[in-house]
Amino acid sequence: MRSVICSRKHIANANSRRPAFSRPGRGVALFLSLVLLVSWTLTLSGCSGKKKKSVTLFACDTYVTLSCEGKDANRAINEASDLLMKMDAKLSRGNKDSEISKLNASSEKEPVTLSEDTYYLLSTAMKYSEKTAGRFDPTVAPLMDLWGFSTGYPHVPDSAQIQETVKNVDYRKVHLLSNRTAYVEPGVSVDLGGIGKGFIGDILMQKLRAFSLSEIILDLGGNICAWSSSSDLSIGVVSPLDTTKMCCTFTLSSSTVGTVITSGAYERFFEQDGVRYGHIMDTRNGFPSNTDMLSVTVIGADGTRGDAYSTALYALGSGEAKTLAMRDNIDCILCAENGTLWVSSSLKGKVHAQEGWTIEYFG
Amino acid sequence: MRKKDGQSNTSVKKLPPRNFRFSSGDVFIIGAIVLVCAILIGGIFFHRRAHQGDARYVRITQDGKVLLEMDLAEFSDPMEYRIDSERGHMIIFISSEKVYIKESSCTDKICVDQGDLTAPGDGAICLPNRVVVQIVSGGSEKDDPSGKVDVIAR
Repeated sequence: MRSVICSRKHIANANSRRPAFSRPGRGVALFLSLVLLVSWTLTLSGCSGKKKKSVTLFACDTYVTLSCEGKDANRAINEASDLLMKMDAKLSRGNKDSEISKLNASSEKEPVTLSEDTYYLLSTAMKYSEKTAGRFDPTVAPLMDLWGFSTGYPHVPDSAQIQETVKNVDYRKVHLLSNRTAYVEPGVSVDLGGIGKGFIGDILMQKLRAFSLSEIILDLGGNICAWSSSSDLSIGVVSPLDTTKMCCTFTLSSSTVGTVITSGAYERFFEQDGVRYGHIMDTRNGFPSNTDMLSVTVIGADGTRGDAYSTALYALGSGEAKTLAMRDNIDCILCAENGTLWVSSSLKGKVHAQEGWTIEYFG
Repeated sequence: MRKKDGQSNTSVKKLPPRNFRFSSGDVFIIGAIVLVCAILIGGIFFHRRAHQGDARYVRITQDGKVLLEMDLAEFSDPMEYRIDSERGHMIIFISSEKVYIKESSCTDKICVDQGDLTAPGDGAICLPNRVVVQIVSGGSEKDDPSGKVDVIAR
């Protein structure tokens, strides 16, 4: 509307028969009218509204999608992507030059010095191993290799080999020394994959919060880390029985950082002689964990903690999982075989079951 | 603005006559503005219509690079899209109704088990081949009928 008024005013000033462009006022009028017109229509069409950007990358052995909305979206996404790739290179066991590979090649006589991030994550992983009595254990990798979960050709290995390998699955065989140095005992191999995605999500979120953004949603291979300045976010939890559906949704209140991390054997498993073997190992006997649990979703502000506990709770089975969750104040959704969702009572009102699932609160 | 107006008035030193009539130049300016208006509004209208319709696109990416992005309506004749890379091969069936991964050289076949992809938001991922097959709508993904949630944890 403003543009129309403006052009009329200048037409009223047009008092001679001279061609329009010979007069500076006319040119300016035309130009200003067009500028106003364009800005008005752009506002109408919403093109000058919130900027949204998302990018999908391959990192941490999975797909990572970073999405941001707000003024700084472009810059934020670029810097976060760089940080993601850097962290992945540092923590990946598959990368021969990574700090984790160097740690796995270390010995008591030749400990390695780790960067601050890696040392912090390793010590945090050890802390959670202790708290979960080894149900979460960062040294489980050789067992995963033996079962073929890391190579892509899963199979049931020889039981003597399992016995031999499980001896080296023990977080107590990783030694943290002063001055950020550490070493592992012979045969022990550390893989921070079970906690690394949660940690990287936390670091990325911390970095992104410094930008002028209104919404941040990070999806690290299904681990969700989200925040929105003004609206509640609805986060679905995939159904372990049918991965095209959800078993429940969780409402994340606005201006709170929330991580939603699910562990379960419904995506990575294989069948041999009619028995189903999942990828989460029972570190006591070296076999895939076989409990009444289909999946465990841990919700909270700390993704590192959520990642470690979701694995541990899954391996425990619903009875012991409830006890551990209550003891350590973990907000979680335990998805049991009979269609029951055991939900921490602290999440009351925030978790909504989908059709076919019933919620029962505990704690 | 005011300064410029003042300048133009002093250069003419004459107020507009009362029986003012549009000159050819005035008509030209009005015409130009109306034309630009029409083009912009028309452009926005068509842009919105194109994005609001229920157009579904299939998007296939490998290693984050887009290999194919096409309107499903163009597949009234179904086709089989083949991917051959150093990681392995895949065959993706595409028709105007649905898309699914028909064959994959990967060992776990999780991608093949995903079945039919029909609605915007549906997707299948093959990690070994680093391939993502998605159905996306023309509009922003939040407007999808399947997008009752902002994101799904798995």
